[in-house]
Amino acid sequence: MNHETTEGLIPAYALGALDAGEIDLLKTHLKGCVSCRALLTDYQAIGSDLLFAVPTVATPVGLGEDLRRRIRSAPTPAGSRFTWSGFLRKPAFAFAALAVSLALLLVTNLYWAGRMSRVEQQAALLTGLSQAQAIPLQADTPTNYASGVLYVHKGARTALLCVYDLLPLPNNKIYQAWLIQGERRDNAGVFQVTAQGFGILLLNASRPLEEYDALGITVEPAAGSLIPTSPHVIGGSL
Amino acid sequence: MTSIDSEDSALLQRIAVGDSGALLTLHKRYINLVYSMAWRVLNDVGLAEEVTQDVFLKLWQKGQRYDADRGRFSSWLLSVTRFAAIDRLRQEGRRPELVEQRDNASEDGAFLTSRVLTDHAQWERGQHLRLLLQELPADQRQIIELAYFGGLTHSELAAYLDLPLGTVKGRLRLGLEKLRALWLDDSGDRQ
Repeated sequence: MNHETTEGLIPAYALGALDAGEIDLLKTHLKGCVSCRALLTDYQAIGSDLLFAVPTVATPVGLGEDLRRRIRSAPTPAGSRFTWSGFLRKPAFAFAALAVSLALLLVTNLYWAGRMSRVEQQAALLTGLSQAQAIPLQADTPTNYASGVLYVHKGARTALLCVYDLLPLPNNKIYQAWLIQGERRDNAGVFQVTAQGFGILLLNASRPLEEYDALGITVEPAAGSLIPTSPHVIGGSL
Repeated sequence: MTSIDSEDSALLQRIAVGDSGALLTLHKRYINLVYSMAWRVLNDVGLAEEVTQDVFLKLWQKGQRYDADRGRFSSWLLSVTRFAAIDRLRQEGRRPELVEQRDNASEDGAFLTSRVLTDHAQWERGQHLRLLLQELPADQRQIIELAYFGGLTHSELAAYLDLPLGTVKGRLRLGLEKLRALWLDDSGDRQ
């Protein structure tokens, strides 16, 4: 087969549309033809972009829950099974584990000694949670599984915000909470979430919280914003 | 490597040691892209849902098969989805759709860019390519879409369209050459 004929197979090859015999012919030709390899690179790039050339379709509600259920019943990832007995049978690892544990213990003790005063300050608020009103926060769209709870005491200007399943943000973005009253939006603080989507914010308001209508959380630039610049990812009525 | 690529790699490492939270994060990030691809190939809500779930379960159990040296995670994931959906299409004995169906594509564009999209540039290029496809004659666009989203080879296309093999080869080649010319023009304009 000549160069022109095999070159003509390249577009279809990049899309995976060649029959078996044609693939063998083209592969042999590609080994010795620089221009055909360059042409193939172009068509492979088109093939890669075609992956994203699909109409975007709303995801059915509940797919996330189905996955959680199926993961629970599925085997764990290959190679991730771990047993302490197997690990500790290796002397070098056992020694390393002991050294790391001691170092961690020391660092943890030092850390907590420095943190105790802050913990004591916050304990007063946290011990009152059982008497607080828990206000649920939800997403507007069914494909967003995020949720949250705002723990509020009557007449208080502070509250504890806990969020779950929010997407972790890149470094140049941050979540910002807003207290809403009519057209007014008061900044209530910024926070990040863990890789698991959990976040917590001790929220401070300039006025008693019952004066506000609602709370919303938006994604803002890392420094925070004076007014919300994006739609709410979750929110709820106060 | 972008920050999204780095985050994806970190999440995959956590999945490899059995962290289901990492999988759920990737699931939230990519479910719309994966489901949209499955739906495009299968044009059936139930089957697209099943393929979407299967792809994420495969990611859970065999995510370590992804090799970052061979491309971006989002492309790999969509490629896995396309092949899984095409396999399912064949198992079900269904015929690929002749043209892109748009009835259910109700939340095009803004939906993805605002909530789900994690690789904006590549998605934008893909959607641009989708527009360029519309500039091709209908028969050329159709054969490209059947080959790519239906997973049909030259001979399968000829049987499917009831056309001579030579006609199919020529039409697919011509369509892709035109698409490449449009794509190169477009890439030049955007730079």
